[in-house]
Amino acid sequence: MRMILTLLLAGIASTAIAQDTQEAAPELVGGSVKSNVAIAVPVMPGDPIGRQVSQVIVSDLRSTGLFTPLGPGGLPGYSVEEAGNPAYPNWRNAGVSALVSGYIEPRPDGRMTVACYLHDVTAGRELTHQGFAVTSDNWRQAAHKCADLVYSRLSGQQPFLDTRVVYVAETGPKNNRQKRVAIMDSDGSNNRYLTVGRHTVVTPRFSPRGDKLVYVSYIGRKPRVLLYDVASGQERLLIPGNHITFAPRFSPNGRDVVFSMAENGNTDIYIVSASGGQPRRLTSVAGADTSPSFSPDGRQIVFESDRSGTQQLYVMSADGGGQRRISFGGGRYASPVWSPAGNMIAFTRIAGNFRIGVMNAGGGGERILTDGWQDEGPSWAPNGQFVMFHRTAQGAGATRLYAVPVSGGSARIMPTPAGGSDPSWSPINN
Amino acid sequence: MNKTILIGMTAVALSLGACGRKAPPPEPVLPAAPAPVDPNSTDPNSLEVVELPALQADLVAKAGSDTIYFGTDEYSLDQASQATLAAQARWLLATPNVRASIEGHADERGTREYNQALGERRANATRDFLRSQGVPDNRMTVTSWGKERPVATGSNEEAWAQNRRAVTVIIR
Amino acid sequence: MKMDRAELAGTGAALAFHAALIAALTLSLAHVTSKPEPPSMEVEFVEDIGFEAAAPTSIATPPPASQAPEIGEAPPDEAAPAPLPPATQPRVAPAPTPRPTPKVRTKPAPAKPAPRASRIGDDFLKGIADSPSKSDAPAKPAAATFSATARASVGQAILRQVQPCADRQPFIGEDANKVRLTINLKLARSGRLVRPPTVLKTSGDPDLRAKYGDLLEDQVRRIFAQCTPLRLPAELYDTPTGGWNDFTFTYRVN
Repeated sequence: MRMILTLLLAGIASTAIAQDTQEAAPELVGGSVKSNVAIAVPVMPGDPIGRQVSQVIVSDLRSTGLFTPLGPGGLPGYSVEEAGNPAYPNWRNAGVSALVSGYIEPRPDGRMTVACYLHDVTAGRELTHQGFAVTSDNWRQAAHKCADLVYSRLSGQQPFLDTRVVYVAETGPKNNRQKRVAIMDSDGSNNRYLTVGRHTVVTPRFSPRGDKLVYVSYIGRKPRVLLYDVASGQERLLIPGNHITFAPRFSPNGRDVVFSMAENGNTDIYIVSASGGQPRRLTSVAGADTSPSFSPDGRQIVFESDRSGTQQLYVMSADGGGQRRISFGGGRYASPVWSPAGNMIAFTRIAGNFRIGVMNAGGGGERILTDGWQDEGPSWAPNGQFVMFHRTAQGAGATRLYAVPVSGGSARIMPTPAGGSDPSWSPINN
Repeated sequence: MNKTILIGMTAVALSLGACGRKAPPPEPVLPAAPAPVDPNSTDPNSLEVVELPALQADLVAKAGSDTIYFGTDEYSLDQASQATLAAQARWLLATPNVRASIEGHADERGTREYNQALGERRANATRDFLRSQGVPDNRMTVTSWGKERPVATGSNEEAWAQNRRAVTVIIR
Repeated sequence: MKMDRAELAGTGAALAFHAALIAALTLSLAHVTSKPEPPSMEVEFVEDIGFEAAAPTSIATPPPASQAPEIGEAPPDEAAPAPLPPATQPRVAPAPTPRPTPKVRTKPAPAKPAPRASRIGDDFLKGIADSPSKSDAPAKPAAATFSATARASVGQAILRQVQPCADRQPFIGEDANKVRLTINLKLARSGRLVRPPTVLKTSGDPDLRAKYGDLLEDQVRRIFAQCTPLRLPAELYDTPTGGWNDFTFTYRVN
């Protein structure tokens, strides 16, 4: 009897031990090394434009701050047939972790296909590929789309490279500054002017689909919001008549424009349909209420107000209800902008210097991202990973656009032909 | 549609200008009454405003200054400002058929949109005082340049003090 | 009504001003303030790029003969026998102006971790000594038991061997460490993978899984491409109670 019991217990015990050991799979923990990925981008074969395509991809990848791109110069070429099937050992020997290859091929309809492949050189396998059909003079967009494919696949983030920036181009001395509304690709190319510079212009902002702008012009010696159609160049006053209006932004569905109007020494926030009509007043407390920005779900608006005595950030419902302060960090807070994912608000913090920061949308979690003397006017990249702003220098007041990673890192100057301010980052093109 | 309104307004202005007697104008020559802005127009080009530099110089000569100054983040009028504005008011009352664009400015050490609001506060306080001195509202319009038009280019307190101002601009 | 000289002059001036006003405003109304943008360009996403010879999926065609014959991962340490020229020699002349900075580094010899052989110390089998073989003859591989302790030791040995490659994996996000993959490997006796690692399960918050799942799998594939072949005891490869031919583990980043 005792024997049977002992055997039974031993059996149960060993089974239990065996089961425990089987269920606890051993764990491997990986490194999280913060260093740039060495990625090779040789000249794309198939068409002479392939060199420029590769150059745009290199410049785009470098701008993300995540890569050390190599090429296109100094790298071996390859044939169209080899694009999908590179010699991985060669690239491993070259010390690169990833490779962007592809080719350019004419299409029967006169356009061209730009094929884009991303390879994991270390693992010796292709990660992804996609083809982009474009007209031959739109080759740049295919290059940006390829760079976005590479960036997204290797970072896990949404794309942001195939975008435009609308901003104010600045020339001339501080006391005679010429300002024009300008649009460029976010790598600085295709820069062109939408106004001629006769009237001072400030704060241009894209509509959610990138097909319209609102901006402020000092036409007739008063700041007034204009609504501008990008394709046709047609524009009109948002609010007719003799009112001082400024700080405009579109609602996320593109149907309304929220803005400030100043009257009798008080500035309040209003909203009006983009197709015209009576504006509705959203704030009425005595004070300067301005810089409104919608949350991406369209339900809330963040704005700045000095009703407490100093400029601070407030959030309200889109109908103006429930206005509550969200900035408590010491210092003054201005120019808030809600992030595309809805989880953060970027702002300008004034505490001696003017610096760009981000906080959680509910307030708190504040992080300062820049270190200039006067950095202001943030605008989010559509994937929420970068914030563009303008930096003014002391003295002569030269102003330039910069972009800074939200996760931390140095601000990078944007390649504008002249000075620039008040940037607004477009959504992804197409 | 806009051209029709414009030609109509111009016709009205023409007929008004040709009728009646006027007192002989003092130096320099006064323009006729300005064409009113259509309050419902959304055409940006309907907003142009015409400065009158010769009359501006006359204002400065006779009132002492066309500009008053403010403290940091402030829009209250000190005694010197009030004295200057009182003299400007007297000039305006003696100079009919011109209007004044009361223009508020801020220094560079503020964010762009807040400074647009602050400029309007300054211009509004100035306009209120001129009104209290008898200048009618329909002869004044208020605007704000924010920090867009500094006169002094330094990044120091002296320059900033010169830029925090309200200017009375004589317009048609 | 008789008009005197001053009134005539005034009226004439008024007429002249008004004529000028009409002219100026007419011209400015006709002026277009800005040029219209050309119609927006369209990008069409083309799915099936590639050639007759290559499949349009992500499985590459069989590698050239100079590479190892194993399917799946290309082995990392075969560069020495390869007759392919080093990467610094351009096969096509891509640019008329040569770039001054040599961007491409070539390693003189494959620098594989020498310690791989010594990772398993002489005392490797100590842990499994408690399953003694009673026979006098050297134990045949089939007679070895893949006991719980053996399984644990072999598992630790595998992970020790790949840890240097795991350590090199890049940072992918602050919250990436909240996702865990369960991975299964099938190994050949040579210590190489028979097929790419399989993800059995991904655990963690759904948004984080969507964001980091692929990137973590990339890391596992790189780790086992670089740090193989593994050196493990042959007699434990495949026993009646299991073996290291089939190995499951979990992976996360720190």
